Amino acid sequence: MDTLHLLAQGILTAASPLNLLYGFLGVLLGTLVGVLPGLGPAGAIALLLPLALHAPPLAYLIMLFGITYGAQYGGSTTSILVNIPGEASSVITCIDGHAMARQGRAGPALGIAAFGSFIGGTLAIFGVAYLAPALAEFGLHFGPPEYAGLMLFGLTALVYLAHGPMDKALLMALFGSLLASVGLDPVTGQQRFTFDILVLRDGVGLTPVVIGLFGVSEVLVNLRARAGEVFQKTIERLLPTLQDWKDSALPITRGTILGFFLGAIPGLNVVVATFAAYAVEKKISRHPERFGRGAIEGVAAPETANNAASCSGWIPLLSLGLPTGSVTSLIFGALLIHGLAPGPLFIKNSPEIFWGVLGSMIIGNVLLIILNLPLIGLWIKVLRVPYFFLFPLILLFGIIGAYTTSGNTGDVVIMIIFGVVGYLMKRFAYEPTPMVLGLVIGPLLETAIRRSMIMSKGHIGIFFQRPIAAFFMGAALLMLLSPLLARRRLGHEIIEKLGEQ
Amino acid sequence: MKREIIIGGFWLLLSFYLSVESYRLGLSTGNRPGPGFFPFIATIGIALIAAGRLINSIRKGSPEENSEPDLGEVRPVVYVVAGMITYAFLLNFLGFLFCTFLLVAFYLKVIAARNWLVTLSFAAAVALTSHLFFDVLLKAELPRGLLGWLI
Amino acid sequence: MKFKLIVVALAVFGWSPALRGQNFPNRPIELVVSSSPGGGVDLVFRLIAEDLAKNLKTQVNVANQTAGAGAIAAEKVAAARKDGYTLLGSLLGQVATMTVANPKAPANLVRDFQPLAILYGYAAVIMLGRADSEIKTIKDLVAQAQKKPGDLIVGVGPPGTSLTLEVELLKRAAKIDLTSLPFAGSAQAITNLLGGHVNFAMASDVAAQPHIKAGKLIGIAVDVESAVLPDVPTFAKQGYPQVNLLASVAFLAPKGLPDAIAKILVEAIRKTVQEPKLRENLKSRGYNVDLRTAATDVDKLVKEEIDKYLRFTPEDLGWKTQ
Repeated sequence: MDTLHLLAQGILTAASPLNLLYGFLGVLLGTLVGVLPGLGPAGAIALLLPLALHAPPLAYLIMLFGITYGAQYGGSTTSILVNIPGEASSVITCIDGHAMARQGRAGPALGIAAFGSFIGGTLAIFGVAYLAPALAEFGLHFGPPEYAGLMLFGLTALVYLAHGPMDKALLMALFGSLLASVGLDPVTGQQRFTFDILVLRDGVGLTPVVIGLFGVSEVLVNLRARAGEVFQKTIERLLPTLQDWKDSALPITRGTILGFFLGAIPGLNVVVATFAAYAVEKKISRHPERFGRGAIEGVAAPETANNAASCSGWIPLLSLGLPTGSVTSLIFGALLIHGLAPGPLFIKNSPEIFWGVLGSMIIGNVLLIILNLPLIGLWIKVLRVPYFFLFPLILLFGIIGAYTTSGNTGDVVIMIIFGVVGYLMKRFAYEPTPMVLGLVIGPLLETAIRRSMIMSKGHIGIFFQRPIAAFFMGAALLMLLSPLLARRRLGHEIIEKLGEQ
Repeated sequence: MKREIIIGGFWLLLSFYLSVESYRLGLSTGNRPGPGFFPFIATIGIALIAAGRLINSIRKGSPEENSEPDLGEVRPVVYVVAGMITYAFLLNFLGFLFCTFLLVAFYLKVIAARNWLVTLSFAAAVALTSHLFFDVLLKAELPRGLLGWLI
Repeated sequence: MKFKLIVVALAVFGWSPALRGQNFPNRPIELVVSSSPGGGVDLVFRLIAEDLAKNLKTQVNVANQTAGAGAIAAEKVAAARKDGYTLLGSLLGQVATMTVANPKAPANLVRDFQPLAILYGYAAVIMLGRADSEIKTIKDLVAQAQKKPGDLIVGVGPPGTSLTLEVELLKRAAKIDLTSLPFAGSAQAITNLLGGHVNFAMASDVAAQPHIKAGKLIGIAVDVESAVLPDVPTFAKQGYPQVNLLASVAFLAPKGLPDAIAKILVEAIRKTVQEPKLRENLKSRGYNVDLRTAATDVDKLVKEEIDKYLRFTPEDLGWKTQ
């Protein structure tokens, strides 16, 4: 088939020594950046921008792309091992991944995460190769009302993410969305909750909050418990068992599909795909109570989804020339630096770049799995370093990560504050994950609704008159009502729930 | 139960304050939700949930869940946080290299209680390698502080 | 004792600006850029900085500092030592906005800064329409808007940016009612225009170009002649010169820079930007290269910029305090 042929050519182009070198550097840097809490692919790419003016275009782009999906591989490492997400998209992996590590199953967790990432990333590339233009066109149909429906549907995923009481999780989600509204109102230009503090005008960034809430707080909680101890005394096994593989097969498949399609929607953060994948697994599972206690599906699905989503996230940029987030904007800038105008004609006008990049992603994924599997043994050795030497490093990297978000110590202060908040939350049994969900989806939902209302001049009907929007609204309502509909005795169910709390 | 009351009280006070702020931002502009609309709903939601939990725990009188935190646990937390806050404030004056050195040394000496040799050498090693890696290699533009005066 | 006196004397002279100015620059210069890396503004500064370093024979390091919508960067440079080693590279409009919204703030464009060079109208903002629509010019747009007030939806940028404010200016000048729908930036506005969710979109010319070339969108008007889309008429040409928030980038130094140092910097910048290779490079990326360095010229431009933004309230500019 024609596409396959083009892809094969792309792989050959990407396999040239120069491109391989840059590609390898890219994935290596990406893995490193993914492991370090706080420093994300956006930060790393921004740091490499000056190089853009000197490096050969395709090689440079291959390196940048390598950083982005490499980071998705690396992010899971710290999530699993020390319960600190390297990236916001690895937050969900902490839940079951770290639980598995506590059970001495860090090896299988890391292995399945790496393998799932590989499958997700590679299959997504084929998806991009075949479906990019069509998906891009479809993505254009998503205007504000459709987003609103989609976000509402995403919020219902909250139902399936909470381990503890639902009301606490809802409270956290509301708090998260409240937090996200700090700063400049995107619609009217008014400042919300900034109390005249200048740095708050840009809002409370996701990165400093996640590093603080998960990273710093984890260190604070562990300070006494781990005093001088080595983190983990024995690792039972390094590789996943046959049962692990069997259990992960379907989650990986589902994660790939879900991640791929969600990632293709312009403007949807990869984080959302991971939350969605986890929620789906938990809902479909016959034993949902296993989730949160080391269910391997809870690692396989999100890790696959985030790689698939980060791949398909390129579709709007490559097919239409529309950057949809900070990383895509940076790559857009990098393309411009080399005089390549990404746009609807990009694939036609610069096929060697498009297919070369895709080919490099296939090679990159292979490189990453070769890189990451042996590294598992290395990471586990790192954990043998006494915690007292480890934690200053963890905090230091967190500080650097927070600082480089916008070059300002304000973000470091935010990180510290949320470190304390996270610590208190852990002591009082409030979960941070719903808060992150609220932080990410809350503002998206709000702006989508407000923009829709501007479009419709105040008529709510707009959400139900447009087909895609109506579909998602309906789906959201269905999700909300389904647990209630499933039980026969509705009243009894409600009384039960009240009694529980 | 005392704990639940404190927490519940905290959420109620916070949501009340924020709901007032949200209201001041304006709940509607014309026929559209204003900047304060969604925050207002969020604060109401929080208040309702907090009130519900508070009432529930008073009624049920739940047993103490964990022990109260003792000084041994809280003290290192305070030190770590204080260390980081100081770091954040001194960063622009002393620069990345020196601040990092001081922070790591502080942690190692005060919290990990190692001897001076280990403390200073580890701190120096970390400060130097991270400076080389982030400042020189990656050109991360971390504050130079005192370093800017020396070079 | 005498030795100590000599050391002290040397130290005092060593720190004196006059003496230091004599071999300026003898250490790296920090160019604080208040836009995010990879964006249009940042790119221009990076391109110029690279060659500027060669002309000044010292490193020019670009430090991105986006916090507080550029206010932090501005404050930092305003308070920096007036020795020419710390400069601000920013969108002139950004600093003008801050100054107009809050003249008492620590970074006031007129009071605290000395403009060294301004790249006037470096990039154009374009108003786009769909190719399949009947509205092709501002005249068509105004006519349609008068027929059905508020019916036409324009995708604009975040509050306070020229992408949004220029539409306000058009509405005022033409006395029409358009519905402004704020988006996060050019890309989002274009996406929504392509998807048919809005009737028009405001975007940067560079972002718009591929879509115009592909025939999906058309350019209705630009605020300054666009290097990449020279055929699109300006608002002024179509009868609305009031829509004039053209983007300019400026090299700003803290006010009170010694004349000798200022002269060296201005000369170096001028020399750098005149170089044919850099000019071509900038032009090929779609930037207009209209460099102003004469003191009277830049001072006038600064004043004009302030006047342009005085037409708006702090809330319009996104700087309304609670």
